[in-house]
Amino acid sequence: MKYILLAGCLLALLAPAAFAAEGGFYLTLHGGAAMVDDVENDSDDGTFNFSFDPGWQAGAALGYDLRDAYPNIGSGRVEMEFNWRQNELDEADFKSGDIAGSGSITAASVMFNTIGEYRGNLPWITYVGLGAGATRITLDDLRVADSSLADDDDIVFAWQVLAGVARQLTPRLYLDLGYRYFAALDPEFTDANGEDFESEYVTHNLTLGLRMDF
Amino acid sequence: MKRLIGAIWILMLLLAGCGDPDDPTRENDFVLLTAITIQSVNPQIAAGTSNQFFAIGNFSGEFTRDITDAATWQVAAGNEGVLQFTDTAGLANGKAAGLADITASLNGISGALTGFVVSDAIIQQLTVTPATASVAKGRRQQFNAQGLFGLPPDSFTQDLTGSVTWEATPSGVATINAAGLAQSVAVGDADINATFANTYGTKSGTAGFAVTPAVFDRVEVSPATVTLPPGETHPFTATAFMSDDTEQTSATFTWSSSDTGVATISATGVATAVAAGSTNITASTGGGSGAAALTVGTLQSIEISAASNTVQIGGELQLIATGKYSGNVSRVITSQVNWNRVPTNAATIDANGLFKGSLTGPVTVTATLNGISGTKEITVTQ
Repeated sequence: MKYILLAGCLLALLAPAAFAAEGGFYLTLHGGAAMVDDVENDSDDGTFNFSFDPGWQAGAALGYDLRDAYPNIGSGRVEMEFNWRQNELDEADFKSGDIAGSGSITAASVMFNTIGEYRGNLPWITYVGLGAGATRITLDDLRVADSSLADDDDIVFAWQVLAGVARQLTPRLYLDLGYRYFAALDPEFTDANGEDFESEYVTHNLTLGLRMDF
Repeated sequence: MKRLIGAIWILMLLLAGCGDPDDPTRENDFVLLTAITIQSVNPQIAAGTSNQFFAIGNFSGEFTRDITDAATWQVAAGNEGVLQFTDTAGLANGKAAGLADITASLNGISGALTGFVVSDAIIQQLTVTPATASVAKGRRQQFNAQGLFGLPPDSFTQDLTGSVTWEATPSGVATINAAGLAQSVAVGDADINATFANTYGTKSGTAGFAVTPAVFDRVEVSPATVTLPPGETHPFTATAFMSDDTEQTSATFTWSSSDTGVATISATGVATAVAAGSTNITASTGGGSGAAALTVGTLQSIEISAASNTVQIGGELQLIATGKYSGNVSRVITSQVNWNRVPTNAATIDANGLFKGSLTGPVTVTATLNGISGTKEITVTQ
């Protein structure tokens, strides 16, 4: 988080003051907490579940702020976003009971977001948005009782809903606090016994970021 | 700002709790099996009897699981004359007196039980339980046999239910199978005999089995399930059975519906569907009751059909409206629907769906009932 803030401040200082914020391209850097919903995995031998510890996420987005230039469309932004989420496996749940696990699940995603903004008289800008794209879900060396469980990845369709508030710090710089519901469409993996299973991936994310207009 | 952050965290936690997975159904086949323990139903057995062994797997100290069916069972070389496994699920027969070492193996891990005793102790007593039993004709009774082997202080008891020979006399009153389950056949008294014999001795035990006249057993309502559209009637029938499955012809029944808002039932068992929903139709008699499930379907769509899609001016065409109800039930509802057409001056339709063309061109016909409509286009020609 410290590096994201530093990077944002540096970009703000480097940006020429003559380009006042009247719409146009922008860059966002953000990071924060990511919580994965408990996962139900479905295989030919039955179902088994994963639960993950709270983790972290970081991302960057390059976008275009429509501001008031397109009144027919409205006030808002479109952006392409790169994101990385990681959570450690807490435990795996089988018919015979829970067992502590290790390893992590990561999701590297490319999303295309459309965001609607409301700029009232308050200093805060509220926004909501939708995004769609693709994500690579990786089960990185998942283990239970030192036995391998899964080590595989899959690329699937992903979508997200985002909402939050932004505060204009300078004419070109915004502080952004947001929530994201991010879901991937049924990734499929192969377990350590060679059996395929269908999984799930839904996360809730709290992000803090900086957005700088060019 | 603090409130906003707090609200977002609460929202995240609430959403994170949504959609919890179902209870898992898959065994943990990832953790390594590290040890197997063999357990026995009996600490020792008499020759000529059987014993069930169980294999309990220890998986890396994390959990244990019964792996009896998955394990491979073996009697140590040289002990085959003492004990022999009769199936792959840990059931073994004691062939002759002696000590036997056995192993259960899975995935390269083995567990052992050494010195399992197959005894040459002589059977001293065979007890059949219950000593006396009385059931109504048609019903069954489980008998068990327990043997006492040897003399104190080395005597031991063993369940011999599956190792004895069972006999019921006279067989016209009762029969009994190899597992000791007696079936009553006719009113009367029977003896249930169990006989154990091995190389070292023979013993019998007896129990009394009285079969009394059949008693009321149950009421069956037919049909067991039925789906009707609202307004329709359907007859149910009830039959009372005795314990020997004969019909109790003298039984009279009282009918009831658990939800009369869904369906009512007459004193003679004729149900009338009232409104969409489910109800239980119960027939009660002195001894008990039985029930059937009645579902009243909801009108979901209306289809209009006709012999032709065209009719000449002045000609007539009979339209038929068919209602599709939930529960996959269809009924002709031609005279129940409200008929309409557009344009109104191009044709007439009476309450029974008789269409008469008066102007050339397409006419859209609509049949409506309870807010559900179906349409069909009829072309009026010269």
